[in-house]
Amino acid sequence: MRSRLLGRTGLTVSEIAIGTARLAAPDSDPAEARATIAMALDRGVDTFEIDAGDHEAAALLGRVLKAEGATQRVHILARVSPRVPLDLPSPHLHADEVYPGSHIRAGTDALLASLGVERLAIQQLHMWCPEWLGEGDWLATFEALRTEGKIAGFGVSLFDHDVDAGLTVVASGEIDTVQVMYNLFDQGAAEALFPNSQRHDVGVIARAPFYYGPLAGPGRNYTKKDWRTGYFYDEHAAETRERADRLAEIGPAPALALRFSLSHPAISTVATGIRTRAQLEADLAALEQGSLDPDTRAALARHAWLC
Amino acid sequence: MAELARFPATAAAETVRRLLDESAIGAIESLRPPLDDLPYRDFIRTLLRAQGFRLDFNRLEPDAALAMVADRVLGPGSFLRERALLAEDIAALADFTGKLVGARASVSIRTYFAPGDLVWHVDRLPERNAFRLLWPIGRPAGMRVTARDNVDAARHRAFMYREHPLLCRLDTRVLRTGTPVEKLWAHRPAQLAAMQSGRFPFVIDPDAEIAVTPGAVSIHRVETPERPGTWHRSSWANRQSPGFQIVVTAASDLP
Repeated sequence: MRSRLLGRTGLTVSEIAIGTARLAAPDSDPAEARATIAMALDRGVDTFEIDAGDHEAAALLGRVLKAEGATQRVHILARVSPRVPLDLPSPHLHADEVYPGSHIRAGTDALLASLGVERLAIQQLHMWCPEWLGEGDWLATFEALRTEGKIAGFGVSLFDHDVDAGLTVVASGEIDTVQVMYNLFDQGAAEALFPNSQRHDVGVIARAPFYYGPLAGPGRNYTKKDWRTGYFYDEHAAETRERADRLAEIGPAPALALRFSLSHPAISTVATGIRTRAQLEADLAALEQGSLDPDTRAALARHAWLC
Repeated sequence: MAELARFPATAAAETVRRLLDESAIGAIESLRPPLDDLPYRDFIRTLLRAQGFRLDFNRLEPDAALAMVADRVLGPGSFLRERALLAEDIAALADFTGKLVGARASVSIRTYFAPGDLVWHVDRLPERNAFRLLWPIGRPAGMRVTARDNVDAARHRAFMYREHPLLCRLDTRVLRTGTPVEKLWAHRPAQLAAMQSGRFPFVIDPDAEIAVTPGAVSIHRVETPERPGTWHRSSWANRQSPGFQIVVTAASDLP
């Protein structure tokens, strides 16, 4: 497993980070989930991405890390969700309402306890509005948590397709990482966010390399209760499927998708949701093929449509 | 196509508020003279020929705000009389809209076309009662409104989860560069087609809409925690001639 530098944190993280939400979903197989995490650790994956408020995922991951004796050798990329439920990040809400420092601290402490790790690699704000940069006590709280040794760094996670929202905060020098959707369909981050991140030594966590499934090929479908079932309503599912099918002229979509996400040098790690050992094996096989050559990347640029 | 309830330009705010409260769709209109008959037509036409802009008045009075725009876009001291007349009308509209809820109204003007307005949406504010008055001068088509139960809310939420950031980005690019929507979204033909036709996947009956009369003043309800808002969208016919758009919003926690 190759590693990359996580921006100015100085940490090196595995090229893929296992997204944990689907491992602990209600319809998941707990035994398979545990075996998948153990297999990932065994194969050199040392980075995991988790919602600090996902208690089931934290409990699952914590149990396996302890059983595998891995609590000291993993990097946890955590996200703290807004205190108030939001459909979309809104500048009409003050940062103090959305991310009060006490909320960030409580979420961090609870996650550390559940996972049994001494320090999170990164704690992030799960949604981000540029207006929040100068508001509230979230920044002071993050800095205090870093001083206390509870986190190595901190950053923001941008709402899907909202790459421009990250430009100011990346350039501010205040954050260590930025998380963003980046895949064959949404290549928007490469335009300005990635160059800015490189300029300011901000690590990039790319997420959703398979656009929540359609680029992953068969076998990663959702249950009716999964939020993505509603997200991919008929018209959107049909268009997405048709566009994914067009990729066949270049190569198999799943391998292309993962390799594409890793091909940009600004990216530190790609967070990908995995449920089974078979899915992990397929992703690891794609990773072994390395980054895409420039000609293939140029051909894939024509397939962007969610940016 | 059905028509909105109308109110005379001389109607009292209390009367209009009652009409709005009685309106099932939450929108009413008031006919206004066409651009050719307005005393500030030359000023507006000159502004419409310049690069599109948007200005929030904030605490500026209309005459000061229009002076700022005119001086910057057209040069100092231009159209002094015409802009004074327009400022008077904007001030009257702001005063009138404020009286609907018993609060000071906020005003903005814009001459650029925001493509995000082509997608059905409701405006939202946190106060108890809120209304928005629109007077788009020199537009070929009126705003469309539709009933709340003509929108599949869950689908709209899923649609906007993906499209809202993309639409905001599109609006910004149109404002900053003036590039046509068709060029900026050439890689998204299905989404472009929906904006052209108004047929979005979350609309139950795409023909069940009402058009505001072109050039009319309209007032619609803004969604608040206590009251539903009016679903509305702009018309594709306006993209080349967005007009001079006066937007007045008033909100308060009074009943």
